Amino acid sequence: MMWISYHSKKGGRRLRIRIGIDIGSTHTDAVALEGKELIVADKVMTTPDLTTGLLNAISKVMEKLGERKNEVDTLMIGTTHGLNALHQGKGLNRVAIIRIGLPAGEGVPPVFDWPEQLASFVTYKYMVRGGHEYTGEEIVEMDEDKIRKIAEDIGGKVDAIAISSIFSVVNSSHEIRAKEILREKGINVPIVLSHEIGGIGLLERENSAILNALILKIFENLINKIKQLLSSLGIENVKLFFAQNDGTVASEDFIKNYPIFTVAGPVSNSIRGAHLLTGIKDAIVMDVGGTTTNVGVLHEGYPRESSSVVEIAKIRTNFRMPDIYTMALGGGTIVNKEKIGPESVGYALINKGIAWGGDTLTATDVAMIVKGITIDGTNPQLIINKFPPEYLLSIYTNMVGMWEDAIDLMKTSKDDVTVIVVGGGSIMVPEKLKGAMEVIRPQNAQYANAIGATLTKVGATMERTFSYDQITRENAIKSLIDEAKSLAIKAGALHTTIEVREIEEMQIPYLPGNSVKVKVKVVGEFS
Amino acid sequence: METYFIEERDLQNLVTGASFLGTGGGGDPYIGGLMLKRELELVKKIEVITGTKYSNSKSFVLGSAMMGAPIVMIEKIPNSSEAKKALEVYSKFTGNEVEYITPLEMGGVNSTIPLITSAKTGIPVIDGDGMGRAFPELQMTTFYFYGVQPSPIVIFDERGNVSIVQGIDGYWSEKIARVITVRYGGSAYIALYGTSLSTYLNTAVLGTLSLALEIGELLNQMRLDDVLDLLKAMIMFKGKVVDVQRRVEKGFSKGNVIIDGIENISKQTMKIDFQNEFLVARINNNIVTTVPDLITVLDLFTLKPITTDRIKYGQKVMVIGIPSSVRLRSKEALRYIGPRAFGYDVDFIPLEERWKKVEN
Repeated sequence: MMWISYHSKKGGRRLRIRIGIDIGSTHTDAVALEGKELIVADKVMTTPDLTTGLLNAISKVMEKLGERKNEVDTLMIGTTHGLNALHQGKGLNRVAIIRIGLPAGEGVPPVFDWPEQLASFVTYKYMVRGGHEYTGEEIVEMDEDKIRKIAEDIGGKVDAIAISSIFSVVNSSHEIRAKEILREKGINVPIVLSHEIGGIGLLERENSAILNALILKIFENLINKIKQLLSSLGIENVKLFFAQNDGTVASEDFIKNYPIFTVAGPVSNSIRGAHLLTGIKDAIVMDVGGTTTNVGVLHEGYPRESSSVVEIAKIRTNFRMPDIYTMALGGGTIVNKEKIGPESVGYALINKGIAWGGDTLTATDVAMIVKGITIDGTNPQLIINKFPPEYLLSIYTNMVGMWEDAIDLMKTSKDDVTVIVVGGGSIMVPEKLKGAMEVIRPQNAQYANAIGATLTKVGATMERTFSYDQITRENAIKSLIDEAKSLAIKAGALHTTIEVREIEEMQIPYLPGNSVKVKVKVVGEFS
Repeated sequence: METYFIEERDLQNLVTGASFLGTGGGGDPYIGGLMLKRELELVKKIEVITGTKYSNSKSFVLGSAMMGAPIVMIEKIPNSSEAKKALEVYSKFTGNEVEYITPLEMGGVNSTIPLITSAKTGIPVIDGDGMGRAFPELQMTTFYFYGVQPSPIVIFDERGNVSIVQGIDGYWSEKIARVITVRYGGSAYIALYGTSLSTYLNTAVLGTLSLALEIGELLNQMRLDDVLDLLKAMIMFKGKVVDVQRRVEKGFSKGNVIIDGIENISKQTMKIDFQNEFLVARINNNIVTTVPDLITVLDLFTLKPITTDRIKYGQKVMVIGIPSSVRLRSKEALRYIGPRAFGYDVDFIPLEERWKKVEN
């Protein structure tokens, strides 16, 4: 059943309008929804700086809304601004890292294995005595004097500071105290604490905190530009949200402090969008774009998270990222003899594709003939004139095989699963796939990402380790839920609507005291 | 003795080869690899003594290792000199001047710790270890099976705490050392199994460090056939992981993996039980390999070893059976590391004999 439609609602009570924007590699999609109803959809070209395209998309959708633009209540954005800046090494903050953990931790100093270009932005590196054991006891007392000296050292010389401490996921007091001292000493740049960013694994959590510190300015600028645009359009009181890696969104105030949580927002959005468009909670989602197909898993309405190490710009992190398999097969993928991809014509499909009068055989051309798809402004006869049908069929069979292999790779059991296909290239996917119980292509599938960003909830995830010999299981989980809830409220959730989505407990081998890693995820409605 | 040097370019090969011999366990070698990389940036090369000729049979050899929970190590990263200090305390306590350092096991982090100790002390590492693979406990070494006590064990932590354990046997040494390790915060650095070079050469599994490097180099070049020749190993199964069961029991990560065959064995199923390391492999319910023989699971396409905590549904894998060193197969050794020691009511039969039966 589709509950998103172009038909106007009965009863006529107008709801506030939400705008959702998804910045893809070729297009920036924008939708406006009234309640769950899609009222405007549009797309513009993505620009190299991302921001120009984003602002264009906002302007365009506002223009289409006409007078109703004043009813716009919230603006949700899924963007890879952070990721791009890290990849390009441009516009980043100068960061100081303070690791609290000596005499432990010296064996691998901060930023040790980073690519040189990014490491060059981390201009001050310190290691200080302190940190905790897995039990929460101090390794040694923290060296507060050293922190005071550091404040004198770096005052006025850095744009942001990251602080990490050993086992801060069990006891965060040293990180918090270090920040207090820096503030007492007059340091007024943003200070990122690792326990607020990542889970277990000191290097990965510390890296994540530094990456976050590096891109703070980028998001501050981005938010300012969006606000200027809105105010130049005469629109006030629009709440701004950003899509997070885990398929939820968070408010601008939150993302201003934790922009790193947005790096995988766009891929998560397509999975959430597939859920919101179909109502299905568990499925494999294939997002077929211009150059790639991203395959992810929808689990209980949210993206399944990856269990392997996540690298961002070649740096190990421990982010909760969606488990995504990406392959080079999209609408613009170039077919050369028996070879499918990995090259793609991308957004030049409408110039280069055979059906458009171009000279490059693309995956879309192949699918058009075999599946009998009609696309505005194309002439399928041009394809038939050039390529024999049995050749096109054999290529298409191989394309289908690639999708089927990807589904198989992402499944968690032998049983057939529901497959939801979204994205601009989803029309190429057949109605039947091996391993799929059914293949569903929802209405508005091409806007799944933007819709996903618009309709999702505010969320927060926390991860800590506990010893159930020292704290009861009940109290441990409760304290973690409370922590996650207060984080969700910071991220813009209405406290009365917050519910627990997921509790994951993992026993830790080799440690006594019934040691367990617990992860809690909560979501809530916008406040 | 012959000598060669480990340099920074060997790091990746060492990590890959040690993971291969780690049979799915031994902990994540990532931190150990980074620590070693840092040492190599300072000292450039680490001396490894290999070969069978030796100058002075009375020379003293000492084992160097990390003990504890891998999850603690990824958080409480060592300061890198703990194992060196444990060695120094050992020397002072026993009066023995350490001339060679030996690894206890090949696999994961403990294949890198002895090299770090060597870089810090200048004492060369000897090309061998006490397991020829990875096992979970201190007494599961060939040194112990053939009469060398782990004690005295010096246990050191990053703060400088020192404990010296003199257990009456391997079982008690393990038990007491583990309690101390827990009190230290879940990870400790140990010096143990001190003995003369002549005894060492009679009890150790020799050549394993260079073997790990060689395996790593071949695997990284995708030359699996050469690895199989080198080890007299065999591909036991190729297939797709279709089920993984896991649980933590008495502090160990236990479970099993089910793999459906592909190609010409598509009707067959392999089941592998693990307890940190892969222990027992069955095809269609018939045991085909057990500990102490090595069971290693590789990614079918990249040939990268897969650990027991990372194996998951959908992975296409290749399962390799490797005959263990003769020193792991004696009656004395099997008491501690044979299938019965891990709770299986079956005798150890070398995998080459089991496969002869399968083929007939």
